[in-house]
Amino acid sequence: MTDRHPLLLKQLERVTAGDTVDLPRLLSLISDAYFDHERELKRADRAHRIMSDELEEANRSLREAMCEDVQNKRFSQSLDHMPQGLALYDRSGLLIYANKQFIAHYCLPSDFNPLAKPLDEILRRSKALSGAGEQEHVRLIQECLSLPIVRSSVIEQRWPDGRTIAISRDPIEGGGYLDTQTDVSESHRARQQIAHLANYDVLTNIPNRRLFQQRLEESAEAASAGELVGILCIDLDRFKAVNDTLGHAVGDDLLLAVTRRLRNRLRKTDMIARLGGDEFAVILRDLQSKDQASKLASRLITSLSSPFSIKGYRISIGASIGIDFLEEGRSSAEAALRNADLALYESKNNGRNSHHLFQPNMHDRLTEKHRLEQELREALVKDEFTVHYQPQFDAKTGRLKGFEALVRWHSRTGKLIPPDVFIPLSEEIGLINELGEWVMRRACQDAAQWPEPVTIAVNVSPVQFHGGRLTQIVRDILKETGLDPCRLEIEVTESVTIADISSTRHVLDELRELGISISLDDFGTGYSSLSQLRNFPFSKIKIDRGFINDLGKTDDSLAIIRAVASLCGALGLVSVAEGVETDEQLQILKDEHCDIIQGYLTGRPMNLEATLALLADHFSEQNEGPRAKGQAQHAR
Amino acid sequence: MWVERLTWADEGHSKHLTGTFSRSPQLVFCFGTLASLTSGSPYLSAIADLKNKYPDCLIMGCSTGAFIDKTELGDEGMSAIMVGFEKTRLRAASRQIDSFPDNRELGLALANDLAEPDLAAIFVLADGLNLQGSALLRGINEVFSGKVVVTGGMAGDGVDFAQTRVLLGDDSVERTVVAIGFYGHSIRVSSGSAGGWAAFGPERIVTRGEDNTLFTLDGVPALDVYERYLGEEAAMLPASALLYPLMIWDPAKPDKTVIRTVLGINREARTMTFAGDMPTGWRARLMQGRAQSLIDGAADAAYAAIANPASADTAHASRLCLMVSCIGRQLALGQRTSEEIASVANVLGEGTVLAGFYSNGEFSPPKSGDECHLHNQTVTLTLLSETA
Repeated sequence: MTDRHPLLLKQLERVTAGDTVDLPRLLSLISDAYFDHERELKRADRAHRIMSDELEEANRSLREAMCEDVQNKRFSQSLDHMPQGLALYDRSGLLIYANKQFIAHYCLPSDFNPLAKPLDEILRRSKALSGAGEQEHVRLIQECLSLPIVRSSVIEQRWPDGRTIAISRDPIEGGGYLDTQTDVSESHRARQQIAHLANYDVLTNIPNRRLFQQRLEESAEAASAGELVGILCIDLDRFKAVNDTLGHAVGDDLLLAVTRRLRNRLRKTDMIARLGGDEFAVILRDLQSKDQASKLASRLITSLSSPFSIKGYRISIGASIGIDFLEEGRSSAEAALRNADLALYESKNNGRNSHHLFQPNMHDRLTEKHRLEQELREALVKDEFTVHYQPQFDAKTGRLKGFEALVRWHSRTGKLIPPDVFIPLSEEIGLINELGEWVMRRACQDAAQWPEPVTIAVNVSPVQFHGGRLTQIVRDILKETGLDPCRLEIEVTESVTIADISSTRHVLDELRELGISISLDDFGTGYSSLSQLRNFPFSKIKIDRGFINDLGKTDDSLAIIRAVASLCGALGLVSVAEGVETDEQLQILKDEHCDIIQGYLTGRPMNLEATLALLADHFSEQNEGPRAKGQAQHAR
Repeated sequence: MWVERLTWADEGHSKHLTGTFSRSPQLVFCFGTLASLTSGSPYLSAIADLKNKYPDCLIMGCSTGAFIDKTELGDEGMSAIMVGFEKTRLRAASRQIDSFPDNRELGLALANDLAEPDLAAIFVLADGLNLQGSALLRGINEVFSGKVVVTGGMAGDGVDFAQTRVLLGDDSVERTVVAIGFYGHSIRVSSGSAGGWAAFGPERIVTRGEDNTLFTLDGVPALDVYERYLGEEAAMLPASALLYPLMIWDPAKPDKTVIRTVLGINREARTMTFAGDMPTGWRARLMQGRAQSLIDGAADAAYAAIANPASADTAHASRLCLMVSCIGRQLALGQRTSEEIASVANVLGEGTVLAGFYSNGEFSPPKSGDECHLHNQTVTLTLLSETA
């Protein structure tokens, strides 16, 4: 029995009781055992077959994978060389692929493997996102997590290290999504710069006209809701002269200094803009009263009127300001700016360095100015200008020395337009060169007919002086008219001399070489630098009429005249007093050894006919004997 | 130490335990069918009588589809073994599953109930259906760190997977874990565990597992894989899945494999519930058991238990072997199940009394000095003896 199978022995044991064997039960047990064995074989068969299929399938996949692996490596290397960070997440949001840039962008720790990790864990481990405080850290993470994964979407994040990163998210077929990060710091900076350039003035870095317009529109909206908004248009007085005479570098520095002063006097809520050239504008938000704007304008003018020190020059300018308001019921931005501009013209036309609130009649005055401009342009063609001559006498002898040519405009409307209106206007509209040349030619033609050595003095504006053609024009005119150069005097104002010294000196020297003498006009009103008298070849100094007018009224005037006259004496220059109107003034000037007298007392400006008559009269008298003081007054 | 197998005698409709009772028993182990442990059963009345007679005696047991009776398999009634010790002190503890937020916490509490400086070993019997054995053992191990021998198993109900019970005293209860602690320096406890199953087929990845639920293997629903292998036997799921236990391991520790057996399935979700954790990312291979290799595996467990340095010399003292074997083995072995019991008895020799049950999960350290692990589809033996 021992070589029997243990199961059979067990079965026999189970069915045997004493000497009896339960045969049917034994057979049943044996049958069950066969069934068990068969089932076991069937299971094993089936398992082996399926296992074999599975292994075959695994083998095939492995072969494919090996082939794919080579492709994948090439692909992965290509992806690693992309400038963008790239990460692929599966449908359950776990990372399945990330290129090197992705790891680098997020500065993930080297001991952290992001594969099979969810995005929020990866973001929490990013060193690039921390560093700007917990709150910002959480915000950056939340922002990235909230990007939708069902459609393409993009955000831009500014990271604590200063980089700007664009993150785009796209769903992928079969679930999951692809994140691409691009470092857009450079283009972002460029975009900001471009936006800045579009809205800010390059020189002063304050808002330009474009941004100003935008803010003005916004202010207009606030005004329609009840806010009082002031608009100030500011124009610098005499800036053009500084730019023309001292050069653009000084002009630019001056504009910067002006900007600083303006900003210092404005509130934080006010907005200043440079509209162009020397034009500025200010928006004053949330004013309590209109008076507040006027007071501020006064303060700005005072501030801009104190001298500037630029590149060693002490420069005095001023400012004219026009003001209008945006308020409930009057909230057109365009109209307010135009009105403030009109008010500015008003300030400019009323002696500058002042401010005006817009008044409706300013429109009329502007129209008038435009009309005048038009007439002025036509005046030259239509020969409406004439030249008058004012005599100049020797203070000691009373002898007629010469005349100053003074241009007069009889408009076709019959009005006599004063030179202090049309000369600045012709400078403004660019007519001064033409007009100046016309006056010079006419004066030289007339003077050529006068007896020698009577001189003719012609004023030259700074614009003409620095125009580059003055010497040539004068030379041509002298040639045309045949006037002896030594009878021509050119009068320049001090402002001519403060420009580039060497170029000024060059022009003056050229004129002197032609044989012309140069007078310095209006001495004492402007820069009055004594060094000018030595640096430049002046032969005459004309003391400003303001000092003459004050003679006998203030001691200062006398002291100045005395000083100038004695200076001229010492330097060998001729001193000229203009605007002499009284005998008392004449006497003082004589006493102070002033050389030449010009003024209503000795002779008003007169037309050519009267001039010729005076000359005839004077020279016939002269031929008869020396002229007495009383006779000189004759010419009045 | 002495051990005596008790027998049942009928008295009309009631039953009572018969034995020599020359000495007072200190401990009685009872392993019986679910019916025998259900309220009103004559077996429970007999146990209550025993308890009244020996109030200091600890009674412990659980339900099973088949209990071990000598070298035979019993599938009706109950087996009972009484034990007495010379020097060893005993203490029992019991905790209900629902009193804790998770099974680990339960394990912690149970272990702390028994923890004393001279605690040498504990034997644990747990609910077989409503508990994650791995989590329970994590809690227990946190307290003992492998310094106390922990063995035991999860109660069973054959292939029904419907209800299990544990017994402490004359209380037969559900959703409970009971344990008995052995104290003192005289007790010798050793254990051995082996399967005899062979892994086959490709290595797979647990692509989704949560606690003890397996969702997918290599991205394919786990139930699909099992149904394919089972063929027509799929109709008998979940019991038939016991034919193919799953060997799983952490890819970081490829030499530490564990075997998991199926407890239930969800045909809608295509998921399967196992008697232990199914961590995502772990590797898995199907296993199968030919009858003879399983029988040889049982012998291996016995050899491992006696080779254990803690196993006492049996020459002068009697020895108890508590055998906990997996229900999956019974299903695979069929009529030959008794052969695995016989092969264990053969290795241990006649001086050893064998008792035990077919379980839904086995508890033992993989090797001497280790922490206790949950096993499936194994024979797990606990050898108890006392030095003189």
